[in-house]
Amino acid sequence: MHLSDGVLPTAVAVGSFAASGLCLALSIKKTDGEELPKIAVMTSAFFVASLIHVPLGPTSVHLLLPGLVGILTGWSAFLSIFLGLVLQSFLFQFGGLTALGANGLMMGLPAWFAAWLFRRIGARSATGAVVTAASASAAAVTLAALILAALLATGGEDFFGVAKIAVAAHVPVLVLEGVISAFVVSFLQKVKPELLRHPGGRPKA
Amino acid sequence: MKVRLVLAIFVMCFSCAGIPALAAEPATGSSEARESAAVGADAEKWTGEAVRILEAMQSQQREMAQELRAVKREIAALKVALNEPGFKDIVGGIGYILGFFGIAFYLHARRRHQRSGP
Repeated sequence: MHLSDGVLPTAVAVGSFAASGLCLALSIKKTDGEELPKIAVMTSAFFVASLIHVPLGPTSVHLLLPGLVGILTGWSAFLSIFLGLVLQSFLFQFGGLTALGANGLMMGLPAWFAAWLFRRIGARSATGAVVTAASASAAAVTLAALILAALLATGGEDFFGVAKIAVAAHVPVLVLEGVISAFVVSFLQKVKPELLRHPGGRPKA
Repeated sequence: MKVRLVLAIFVMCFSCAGIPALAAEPATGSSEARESAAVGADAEKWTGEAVRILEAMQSQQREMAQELRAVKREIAALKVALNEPGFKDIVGGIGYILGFFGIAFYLHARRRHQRSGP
């Protein structure tokens, strides 16, 4: 799920760059310096995840992981994902440079959504956190597909048509990411629960 | 009308030249027949040869076309493989990420260090 060069109208591409820039600035501002190593690891995970392909009939879709990145890094997720996308674009030729802003929005906003959802509901109980992580990840993938459809709709595509195809194509990814997130969160709860406790990157006094 | 005229002239000519032509016919006819038979056999041989060469060329062309298709397929597959990120790209990308965050973390730590004093 990467937009390529020239798919979007110029105005939309420029606008999404501006929006992405704002989100990026906000993300950097909210990032706690103490959390940088964790964010680095999550960025690497996001960067590599796109290479893991899930076969789907004649084509394949790849893992996206915006949900997991959001859950673990909170506000910093946008920074993490944007950097991952920049490097994917340069090194893997995934997605065009001019569409970077749109791609950032497409992956970054769902990550924030997952972070918000996880912080709202997930902190109540251990099993609740696992279930919330799974559903937040699945929801993030769905949201990414919807944003993709909305962005393509600005280029004259039919919103519902694209949305239907994009969501349908990502059902395996959605399920897989839910499972991965649930596994990671339940593992971290046992091994290093403090990684989940400060997802907002709130500065510690 | 015209056809009849032509026919009449033809008959007249034949009747005039008829006797010597008939007399000469057996001799010249046999040699001509032999010649034409020889030429016919020759032509047949050459035609057969040409057809054989043509067939050979055509089958060769088919084979070449097949091989060319295979080569083209291979080139297309290679192109795809070239575009696919390799191990170096992955490790390099992770290196970039860790490097960026390392610098950011260093700056953060330095600021904290300065704030809290040496």
